[in-house]
Amino acid sequence: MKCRRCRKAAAAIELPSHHAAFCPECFFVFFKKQVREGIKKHRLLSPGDRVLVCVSGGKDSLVLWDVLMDMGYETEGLYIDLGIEGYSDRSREKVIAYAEARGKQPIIVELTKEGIPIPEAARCVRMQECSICGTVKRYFFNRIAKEGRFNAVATGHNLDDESARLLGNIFHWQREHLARQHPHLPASAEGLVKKVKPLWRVSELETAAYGFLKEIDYVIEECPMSERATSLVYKEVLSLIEERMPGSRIVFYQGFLDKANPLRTSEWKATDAASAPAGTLADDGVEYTSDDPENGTKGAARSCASCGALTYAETCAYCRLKELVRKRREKRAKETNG
Amino acid sequence: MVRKRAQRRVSRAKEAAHGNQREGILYNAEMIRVCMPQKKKEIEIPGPKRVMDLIAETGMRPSTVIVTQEKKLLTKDHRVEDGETVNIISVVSGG
Repeated sequence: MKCRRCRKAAAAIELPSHHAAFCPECFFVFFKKQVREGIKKHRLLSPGDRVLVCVSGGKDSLVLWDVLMDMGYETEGLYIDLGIEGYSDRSREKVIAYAEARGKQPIIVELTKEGIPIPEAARCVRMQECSICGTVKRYFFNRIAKEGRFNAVATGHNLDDESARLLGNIFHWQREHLARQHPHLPASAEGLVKKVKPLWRVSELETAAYGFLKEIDYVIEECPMSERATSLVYKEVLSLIEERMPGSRIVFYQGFLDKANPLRTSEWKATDAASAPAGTLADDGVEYTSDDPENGTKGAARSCASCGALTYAETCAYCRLKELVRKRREKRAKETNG
Repeated sequence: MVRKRAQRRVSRAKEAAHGNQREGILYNAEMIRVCMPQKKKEIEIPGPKRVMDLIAETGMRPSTVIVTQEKKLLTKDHRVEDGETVNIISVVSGG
């Protein structure tokens, strides 16, 4: 099979959804064009933006960092060590090795040092690991972005992630989550940094192929906490549809952004923010707490009494979680010793 | 109990008959070696076979994997010969 672009070299990857097949060099051009179009379409980034790229050591985030650097954006990588035995060490090594190869030094936050490693925190408060992880990550994305004066926080969510999340949100008619689902969450007047997903137009397969061909050494194992994630079920369903009807995934998600976007501005947002129960879980594992300024529009935002972060309650969700973990840990220690 | 033992004997005999297709252990140079690093699994499949057929034999979805050979990415219609090794890498991330 020949490359459909240069028509000379042998194809390395075929993309039925684009009726195309590319050699490695032409695939790089195609991939970057897709990312560039995604950024342009929803004005995700401006040339002068300082971008904080959230890297996990997986393919999507490292590829995102690689592409943004190649495009000339000023970037820094943020790695959050979740404190998951073995997995966190291996993914951290990959992030550091990649960053060093590109002459960078990643910003590292260690949750064990912060007193809230994910597996222990989940055991203490009896919540899903992914839910806690979402709350903690969002907290540090904002905090580090603010401290480092970044204009944007970029995550490696791709088309498969976003379409699976969309299907899950539709399946459960999560109108509040639907209203907020977008590759561009703008900066808020209260001081939240804008959040962007520049890979929203490229599939997981394309990202993995790009990472492999660019010889980016990413961690191929999955987070052991995400084995039972419901998003995997939605991904499986969408893969089946995509194989039978190539291009369905992008039609589904882009159609939502283009046609169903009125959800973002409709009265749904206001009514749902008022009626949504606190503490429910989104399909992507992100906890909805009505006092989280990123999740709701309830009341006036203020500074957390403990850390100064933006919140609608006395203390922010992260500080409350941390305090709860501390108390439960002490209680368990007493029970064990006593 | 006796019935269970008999069943086990039959399944062992079947495995012996298809010994070359069992996971790992025996690596026959005349077969295609398929590595699935995420599953920590290796199997041998008689060749020649197209990449898409190898994926089908592993029970994985073609749109959820990339197939590599050393530093090369293989297209689904690529023909793999006996004695060659390929990696099937899942691209699906959860959470």
